[in-house]
Amino acid sequence: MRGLGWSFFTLFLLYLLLPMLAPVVYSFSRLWLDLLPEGFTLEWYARVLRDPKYLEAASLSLRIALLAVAINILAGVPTAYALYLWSDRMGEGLRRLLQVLPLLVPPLVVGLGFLLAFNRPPLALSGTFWIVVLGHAALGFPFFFRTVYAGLAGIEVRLLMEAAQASGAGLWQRLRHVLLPNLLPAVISGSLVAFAISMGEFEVTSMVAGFGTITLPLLLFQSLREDFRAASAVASVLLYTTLLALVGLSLARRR
Amino acid sequence: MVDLIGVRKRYGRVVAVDGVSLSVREGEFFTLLGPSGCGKTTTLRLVAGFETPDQGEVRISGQGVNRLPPEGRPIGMVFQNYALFPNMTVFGNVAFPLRLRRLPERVVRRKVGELLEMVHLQGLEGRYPRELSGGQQQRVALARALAREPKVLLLDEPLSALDAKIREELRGELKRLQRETGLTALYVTHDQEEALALSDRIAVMRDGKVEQLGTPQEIYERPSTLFVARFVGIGTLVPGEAREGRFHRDRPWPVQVEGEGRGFILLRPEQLRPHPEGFLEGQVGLATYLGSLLRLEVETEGILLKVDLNPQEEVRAGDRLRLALPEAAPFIKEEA
Ligand SMILES: Nc1ncnc2c1ncn2[C@@H]1O[C@H](COP(=O)(O)OP(=O)(O)OP(=O)(O)O)[C@@H](O)[C@H]1O
Ligand SMILES: [Mg+2]
Repeated sequence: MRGLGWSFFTLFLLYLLLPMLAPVVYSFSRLWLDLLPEGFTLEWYARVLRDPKYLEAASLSLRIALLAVAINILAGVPTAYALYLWSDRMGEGLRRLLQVLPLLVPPLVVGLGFLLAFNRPPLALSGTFWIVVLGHAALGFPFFFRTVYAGLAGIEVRLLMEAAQASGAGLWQRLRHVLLPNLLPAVISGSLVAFAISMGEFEVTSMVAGFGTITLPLLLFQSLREDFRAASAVASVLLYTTLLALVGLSLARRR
Repeated sequence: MVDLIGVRKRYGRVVAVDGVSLSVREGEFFTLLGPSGCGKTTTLRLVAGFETPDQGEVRISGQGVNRLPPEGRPIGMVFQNYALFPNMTVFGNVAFPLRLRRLPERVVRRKVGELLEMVHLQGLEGRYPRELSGGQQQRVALARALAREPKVLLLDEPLSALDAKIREELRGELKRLQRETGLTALYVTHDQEEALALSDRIAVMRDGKVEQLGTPQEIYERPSTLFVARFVGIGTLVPGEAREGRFHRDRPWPVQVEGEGRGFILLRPEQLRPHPEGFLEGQVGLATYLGSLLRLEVETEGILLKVDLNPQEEVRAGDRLRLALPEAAPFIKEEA
């Protein structure tokens, strides 16, 4: 029985991992005709690095991701804190909604929503850099919020803040010396997740972004037709970003 | 030092503190004692400033503090679950209130050293709270509360998360520390033994009100209500009637009482002695050996009396026994 379970588990793992690993293998190989690829090469990566188109897209994606993370930190930490403090029935419901709703709504609907919401003055942001940033921030929010909220619950914030207050600390001192340092690991974890989501986001981006905002995943999609090799290298780079975020995540958890 | 004047606090429909008035004197160890939910913590939090009264006034050193937040009040506080800052070492935790006052680092270091010595934690400066036992953590919390040099030390069940052995040890040290520093302490507990052992005076609370206020001796020996009699210490409440200074129950008992009318006398187990010509005769229902004493339940005239004997006495369940009564006993009138 156990053996059977393990076999299924292994098969499932392969089923999940193989498609993910395929571009990586492909990106390093000269030829892949039969079952196994042949000839190790860095040529495809070099081609990507030499092409300013890819570099621009990468830098754009990076800027968008960092801004999306910044927005999440600025909006998400106070929101999580406020909701944690009045976590009565209403706060609890609101929290569930914030955590679950964005996950259930199909990305196409989110994209359409953004298009409609930011279509007219004074918020005529359609097709701009900023609508992509806002969209990515919103997509990362539930994950960011969940992580920070769990962090708050884990450190008994209310008690610690009261202990600081009874020690003579004013609001600013409590936030600076007690809340922020203790919440930092959770904020870092949440930021890494939001960052990874933004770097790889395709669906909503493809709907709201204009011709001037070609992020790395968008470019990847375009070049699939022209240059499959370079595309696999770009896809691999995106995968590495996610893996790096994962490593960072487990480091932040361990602290 | 701390005065509560007609203080009330309600949460929605629950009246947590219902018109409490009391004065804690300077240098006194004052305890709020009562069962769960009677409003002890809320009263303490009103003094700390975490809650503001709906009615009445809180004064510290004669100054009204209703409008001051906790950080503005001359208090230090120790919590049940230690509440140490996990991101700071032992040194950092104790230094926190001192650094907030922007004392020079040299002074901070000296004071932290003194405080840690006071709570016997020298050498553990560099540890983090998670690397300490519960007892050690609570000592750090105590040092941190003292570091603020408060006029009043507030303690909310600081020992109840600890093992029995450590609890007793820390209890003794707490008392010693309070004596030595001459600090005023306001202490909250539901443990009547702890209250008796520690306090100069005790306020027994019930449903948001002070039921009785007095020294441990007064509370133990002369409880003013049935509730206090039942809550503090062990004993038997015997129903009957007080008439002409004596207790009556079918027949007059040789026990002097103060008061008139129907009510109860309280017989403490250590006041009842076996005696060949004792007034009551009964049968031992249960004999429990407790190490330092032998506790009996003696059935007599339809009452179950708790009696403490020397552990050496050879008494077994089923034995017949005559008991001598104390000359006088507290009489508590039946509640209307
Ligand atoms: N923040 C609050 N919101 C609503 N009700 C509260 C709040 N704090 C206390 N209460 C209620 O007020 C009453 C008194 O509570 P309090 O915590 O003061 O009791 P306590 O004597 O400290 O009890 P315990 O021994 O269980 O700690 C209780 O009925 C409690 O449910
Ligand atoms: Mg309490």
